[in-house]
Order: sequence, then structure tokens, then C-alpha cells
Amino acid sequence: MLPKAVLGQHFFRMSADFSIKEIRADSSVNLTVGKVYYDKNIKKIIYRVSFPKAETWVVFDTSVYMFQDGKVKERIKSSSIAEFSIFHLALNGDLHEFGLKNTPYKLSSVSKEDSLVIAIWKPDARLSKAFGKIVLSKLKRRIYGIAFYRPDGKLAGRQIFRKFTHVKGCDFPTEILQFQNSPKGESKQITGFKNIKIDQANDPKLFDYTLP
Amino acid sequence: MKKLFLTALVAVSALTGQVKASESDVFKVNDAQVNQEFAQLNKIEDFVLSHEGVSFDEMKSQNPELVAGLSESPDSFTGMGSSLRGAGEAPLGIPPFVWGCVLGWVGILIVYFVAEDREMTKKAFYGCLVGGLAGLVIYVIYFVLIAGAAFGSF
Repeated sequence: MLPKAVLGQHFFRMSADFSIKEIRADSSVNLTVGKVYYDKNIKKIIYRVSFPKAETWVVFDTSVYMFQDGKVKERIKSSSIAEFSIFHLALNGDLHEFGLKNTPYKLSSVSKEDSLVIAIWKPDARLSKAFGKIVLSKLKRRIYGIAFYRPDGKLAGRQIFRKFTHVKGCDFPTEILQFQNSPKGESKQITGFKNIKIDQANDPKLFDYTLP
Repeated sequence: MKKLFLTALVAVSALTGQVKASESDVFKVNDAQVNQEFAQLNKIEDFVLSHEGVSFDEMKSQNPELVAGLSESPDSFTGMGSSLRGAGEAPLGIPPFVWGCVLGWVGILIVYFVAEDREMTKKAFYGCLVGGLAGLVIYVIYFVLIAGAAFGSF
């Protein structure tokens, strides 16, 4: 086993233009456009939204802070943490297995179906009442899709990584198609990234945001 | 007879095929359908990107038919890896104290990962402590009773 430093370069920060197009279960549609900044040493994901309204969203620890005109508009609890974001995983070269190695999940089986390599990850038996399996697929060594299941075996959601780019040796998805199931129905979302910059010497202030 | 056997075999194969769906099926997507569903949003995105700094209100006054049905609020950010909302609820509706008390450190982990709420994790920790202390007290009582019975028999 070679150390990661030998296998691949590590990166520490990135920025990109993003857009999120969403069709919700109730058929309403939404578009959000802006720029995203992430420095893995600071561990704050900073979304500077420009459309439909100018807002700044900061994901830190288990909270999302929403700022408008420099004031906190809303703070919500989040089930997303920076360490498991695609930004952190991509910078660390862990996106191909979605960082599952560092969770209570264990690799249960690996098989090849058509052109996809399918890996099934299951939680520890004692955690199986709260967590369902995760199915991860790879295409040509890159992550292709990930599906999350509920403990009762029902599909909770899935993501398909449709397109990738390669910047300074770092693989990053440029289009992610996501399906989320809820009692109201299925919502669909396409997240796109452009103008991706890795380890650029930007203004460091862009990668941090003072929180209350 | 041979024909009947073949028909039965085909029927069984078809049924088995239906029941045992491949794990990769979940990653199959009808791209043409998705592209069609997102066609209107793609047009709106093109407009926004070609008019840098345009706001929803400006767009609504300039191009009302384009934004028909579009929500004025930014996305609730269900993307980027996992949902940002929906945390803060006790796992399976069971109080975090009970998780910690009954399942110990496993219960704390469940609350930590599912609820992702420091207060709830703290309650699970207290539950774990109380559960551990109760176990210790029961163990001590049991030991005293056994020891008492052993000495009593001499």
C-alpha cells in the first residue's frame, strides 16, 4: 500500500461557478446561480449566490448560515458536512469512493455489471436500523453514480455524475444529476460547475466568512 | 409436454428476472426525457448567464413568460452531496437519551450521524452514562448477593 502522497497530488482549495436547476415533486422549478469557494483547511463551503437573489450561504460544521446584505437571514441545521462534500472529497482524491472508507460503512461486495463496477457498502449490523445500504458505481475508475437506501430497503435518492473535467490533475464533476425521493414524490436536480479553479492564488478572504 | 415445459421455463425466467433486478439498474437514466424536462430551465439559465447580475425581479419585468413557474427563492440546496435540511430530528423518533442508555456508544454514534445535533448527541452521551452506571449498580448488587450467599453457606 503506497501512501496517498505517492499515489496522487493533494489539493487544498477550489472555486467554481455553479448553477442548480431543480424540478421539485410539486412541479415547481428553481434556478440558483453563483460562485462557490472551498478551502479544506478552513472547512467552510461558501456559496455566493447571484440569482435569484444576492445571498451568501456558508456551510460550516452542522449548520448552514444564510446571509443577506451581510446579516444572518436564517440558520438551519444541516445533515451535510464539509468533509463529505464533493469539494473536500475531490481535493483529497476520495471522490471515487465518496469518502465511505472513513465512515461506519463497510464494503460488502464488488461486482461488474456491463461497463460499471458496482460496490455495495453496508453499515455495521448494529447501525442497520438507522442506516440503509449505499450502492456506488464506477465507470473507468471514476465515480459514476451513488444510490442511498433507507433501512427498509427503499431508495432514498441517487446521484449520477454525468460529466467530469480534469484541472491541474484534479478530477472534478461538471454535471451531477440528482433524484431525491420524498413522501411528496421525486424531485430532480442538475448541478453544474464551470470555470473550476484549483489551488489558485485568489484573495484568501473569498474562502472564509466570519460567522456569528 | 415439451412446449408446456418450455413455456413454464420462459415464464419462470421472466419472473426471476423481474424479481432480481440488477444493482446497476438504479443508475439508468432516460437522458432524452431528463433533457426535455429541463429544457425550460436551460433557457432561463442561458438568459441569466448572458445577462450578468440580472435579478429575478428584473427578469420578471423584462421577460415574464420565461420565468413563469420559477421560484423566487434560491434553491433549498438539496444537492452538493446530501441534503442540507432535514437534520435535527431524533433517529426513528426515539429520544436521544434512550439511544445512549440502551445502546451505549453505538447509540451515541447513531444520534451523532443521524440527528447531527450537538444537544441531542450530548443527551445520548448522558443516556450512555446513566445506562453504564445502572449496569454497574446492578453488577455490584449481583456481586454482593452472590458473595453473601457464598459466605452464608459456610
